[in-house]
Amino acid sequence: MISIRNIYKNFGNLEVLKGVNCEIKKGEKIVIIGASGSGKSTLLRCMNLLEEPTYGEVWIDGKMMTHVDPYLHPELLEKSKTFQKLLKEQNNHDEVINNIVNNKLLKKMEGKKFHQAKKEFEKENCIDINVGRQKMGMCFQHFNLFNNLTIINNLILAPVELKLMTKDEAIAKASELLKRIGLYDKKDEYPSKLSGGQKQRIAIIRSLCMNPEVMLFDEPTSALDPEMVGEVLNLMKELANSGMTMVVVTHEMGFAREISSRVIFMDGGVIVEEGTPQNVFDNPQNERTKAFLSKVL
Amino acid sequence: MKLFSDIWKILSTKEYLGYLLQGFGNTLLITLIAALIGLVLGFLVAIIKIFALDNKYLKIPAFICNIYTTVIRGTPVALQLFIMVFAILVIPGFKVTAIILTFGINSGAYVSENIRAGILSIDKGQTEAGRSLGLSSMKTMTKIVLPQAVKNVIPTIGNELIALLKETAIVSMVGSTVGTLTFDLNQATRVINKSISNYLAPSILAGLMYLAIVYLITVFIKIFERRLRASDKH
Ligand SMILES: Nc1ncnc2c1ncn2[C@@H]1O[C@H](COP(=O)(O)OP(=O)(O)OP(=O)(O)O)[C@@H](O)[C@H]1O
Ligand SMILES: [Mg+2]
Repeated sequence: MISIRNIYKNFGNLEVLKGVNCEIKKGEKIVIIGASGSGKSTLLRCMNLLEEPTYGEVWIDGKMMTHVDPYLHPELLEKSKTFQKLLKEQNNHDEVINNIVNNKLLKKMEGKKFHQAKKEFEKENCIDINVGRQKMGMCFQHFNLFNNLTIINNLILAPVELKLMTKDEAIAKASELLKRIGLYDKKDEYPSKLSGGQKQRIAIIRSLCMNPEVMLFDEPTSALDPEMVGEVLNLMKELANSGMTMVVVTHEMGFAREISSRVIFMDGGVIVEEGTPQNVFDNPQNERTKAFLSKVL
Repeated sequence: MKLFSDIWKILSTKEYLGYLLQGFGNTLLITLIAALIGLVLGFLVAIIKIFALDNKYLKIPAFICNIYTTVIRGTPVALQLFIMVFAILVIPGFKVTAIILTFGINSGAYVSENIRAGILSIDKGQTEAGRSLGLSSMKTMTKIVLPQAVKNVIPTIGNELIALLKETAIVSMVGSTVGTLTFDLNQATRVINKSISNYLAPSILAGLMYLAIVYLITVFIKIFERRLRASDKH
């Protein structure tokens, strides 16, 4: 459903992601773990393009959200001037392609043919970034409820503004979700009146009001007082049991083991190891995974 | 004692009092129109600069906006007034337009910085939450960020309005005529001075009028601020 293809992300000279590939299938619960600074948040934010990847592509439901990355498409590279020039010198198709990809040899101007092909590819495969984002809910460490709106208006703003629902439909849906998490009586309060745990649960159902296909969580409990962690994790477990596709960055290892269908361990901007929770937690293969787990478990 | 009798003389002479009131009205009018121009201009410039942060098509407009704010804020408004009246809009009959434009453009530069700072003071998470729900940058701005920024911006814009009001006192530098908008409160004191040979008396009266309106604006903004705060109790 989501396909992350060879994502690189630089902040200035700092290389944060160095070639991440990941396929996320419908219904999967993926937990991303790793040391601080390993690029977990950046990867999650690249998925819905809050950060634009430097290289690489993000696809959702067979549609591309990023721009095309020509280095992933030999048939595009073949049309570039650089390719034509190098082919004359090296005369081996595959070698030239590899050379271009490995050394990132493309220039700004690569000839009309190349740019036209690129444009055509994008036209065929791109979706509007805002449409793509509607399919992915995102929950942040600091909740980010809209401070100027009441709870109910927080929930219905996006579906109504984007004309996915009428106001009445949205209110009905929001009310139902509020009742389910037991916060219906707070619907006319402003976010500042809520506890952290309540805010995060509201943030989660705010995303759910959009009927997303996948939910992204970036350390949803790490800004909470310990006694509030449970209520948020419980809601997330419920969500997982209902079949929602989820990608969760978390330091809650017990929770990770319980809900995940796949654990991804990141270090230094790459995926070092991935597998079922049993394999990764109980029988890690990589030295770096072992070192990390021995510290946190 | 001469001072008091002169003040009384001004207040009881229809002609003198008329000058003061006319000047006062013109000062208010110039300020009002210039403030409106400044507000619209400032808002546009601020929005362009903010959106240019992640929209490459706005880089050039934002560059122009930067030149605008840098130049306007880096040079005296009196100089800007001279240049506008004697070099750019030297068309007979357009002097009032030139004056008002000068103050409007000047005010716009300061207002834009106030608005920009107000917008940037809103937590980035608010924008990210809006965008991640699929709202466009425009919708996110108008529905989420601006309503929150207004509270921070109102007081600074109020100060800017007060500064503008007082600054308009320099219009007489480019020559002013009784009966036109160029005849402001400050100029009124000069004209009265010529007749009664006492500069202090009309100046005190004019000063009181400036003070009164500045005070009024301050009070008005306080009330407005309090209302805004009450309406979204957080
Ligand atoms: N906007 C940014 N500008 C510059 N550097 C950034 C930016 N965002 C992240 N970084 C850097 O990228 C690196 C990875 O950050 P990231 O937030 O992805 O790590 P993380 O794995 O989520 O860590 P944590 O567990 O602390 O949240 C860090 O060194 C961070 O300083
Ligand atoms: Mg993080």
